[in-house]
This record gives sequence, C-alpha cells and structure tokens, in this order.
Amino acid sequence: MLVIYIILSILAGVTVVLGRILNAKLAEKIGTIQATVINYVVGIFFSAIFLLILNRGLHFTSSQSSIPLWAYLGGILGVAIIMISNYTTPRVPAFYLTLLVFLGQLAVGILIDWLISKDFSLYKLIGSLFVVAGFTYNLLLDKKATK
Amino acid sequence: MNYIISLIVGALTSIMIFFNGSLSDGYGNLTSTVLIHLVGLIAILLTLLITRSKMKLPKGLPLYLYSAGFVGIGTVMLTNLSYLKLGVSLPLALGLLGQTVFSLLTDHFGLFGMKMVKINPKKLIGLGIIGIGIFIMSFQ
Repeated sequence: MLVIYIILSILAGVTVVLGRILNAKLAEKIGTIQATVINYVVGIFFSAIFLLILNRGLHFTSSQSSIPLWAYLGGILGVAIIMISNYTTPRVPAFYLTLLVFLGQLAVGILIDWLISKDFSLYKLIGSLFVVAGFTYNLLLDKKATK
Repeated sequence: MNYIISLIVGALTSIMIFFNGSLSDGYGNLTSTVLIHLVGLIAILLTLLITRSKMKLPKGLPLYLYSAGFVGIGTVMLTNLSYLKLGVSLPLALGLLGQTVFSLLTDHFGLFGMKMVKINPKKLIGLGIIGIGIFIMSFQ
C-alpha cells in the first residue's frame, strides 16, 4: 500500500513542474500577481465542482471544531511563497536558489516529522544527505552546461 | 541576505505542507482543498490591492494558459494525501525526484514549448544517488 503513496508523492512533483511551466507562461502575458489570481479562481472553481460531485456538498462535523486556527493559514503561506520567490528569482543564481529552497524544505520537513512523531529518525537525516548530494551533483552539471 | 530568504522560502513550504495536511486530516481532502484555495485567493486579492496592480485579461489568450490552477489542485490534493501517510520530509524528497525526472523529460523532448535539451547521461548518476537517499529515508 505504501507504494501507492510513493507514486502519489512523485506525481505531486510532476504537477509542480507542470504548474510552474503553465503559470510562468500566463505570468509572462498578464503579470505574476494577476496570473496567481487566475490560478486561485480556476482552482476554487474546479475543486468546488469536484467537492459537489464527489462529496455532495460541504460536511461539517463536531470533530472538526478541534482543528486549530493555524491549520487554515496554509493558503496564505502559499501566496507568501509565490511573492517572495518573485523577489528572489531574479536576484539569486538559479543553482543556489534551487538548492537553498530545497535545503530549507528538507531541514524543516525533518524537524516537523520529528516534532510530530516525537521520534528522531536518523535514517531520514542520513537519507536526506544522499538526496541533497545527488541533487547538488545534477545542479552542478546544469551550471557547467550553461557556462 | 537573499540566500537566507531562499532558505526561508523552503522552510515556509514545509510549514505550508504541514498546515494543509493538518487541515485535510480534519476536513477531508476535497473540502480542505477548497478552503486552502479560498484563503489563498483572499490573500492574493489583498496583495493585488496593496500593490495597486491592475487586473486585465488580454483577449485571445489560449485556453490552456488557464490550466495552471487546475494542475495546482492536483498538487495540493496529492501532497495532502501523502502527508497523512508519509509525513513531510519523505514526500518532499519523492516530489523532488518527480520534479527532476519530469523536467529532464520535458527538456529532452522539448515538451510544452520548452527549448530542447538532451539528457546528460551523467545526470542518471545524480538520480541514482537521490534514489538511494529516498530508500534510506523510508526506513523506520
């Protein structure tokens, strides 16, 4: 069963690249903020349709009252990430930008996993060093190719 | 300073995955995806107002340009699903693998109007090392 979630995670990465390409093309025509507005409008429209078809409307049960307020803030973070990236992309060389963003993701990701499972995984730390090493190697090849 | 900001962007991404995943744990994936987009739309509309940007849609834009938002639903839902089973760091590493392989393929075949860049076979070494790392990360 775990294999399914592994495939889903890899597919999530595929959608990230696809979304980035499409969004960049739209942003080229109408501007980044404007393209992001369109993104969210289209996103709400289709996710609401899916919700209506598959879930037959919104369901709220009492267990959901225990959801902490901060859990609702992910959407704001998403917009903040887009706006900050908009600032950093022309200012930081692509090699360092890609690597630093991924390092920040992985470090905080391991930290969150640790805090939530209350169990520090040395495997995750060691494995992530390999992932960073392989990623850095490929980015270095890119860097060499652009020179 | 910009280097530190880049690190922070990465950190924010992980926190976002954690927030969105927690929301989807409570509401289910579909409802939370709508909520996440709704909160995001309010945030970006406020940004539009604050920066006094003008919203204008030129006529005759090809329809596929609007599909990024649709693809974004996929990203949110897939990430939320994986979060519940695998946490934050492992899906990130797997997602990176998916991103790397898919970018290599789009470049290699020049898909989506991207410039054609053949795969450098040396990159398979990097992919292999990433794969080994993911394998180690998946140990309990």
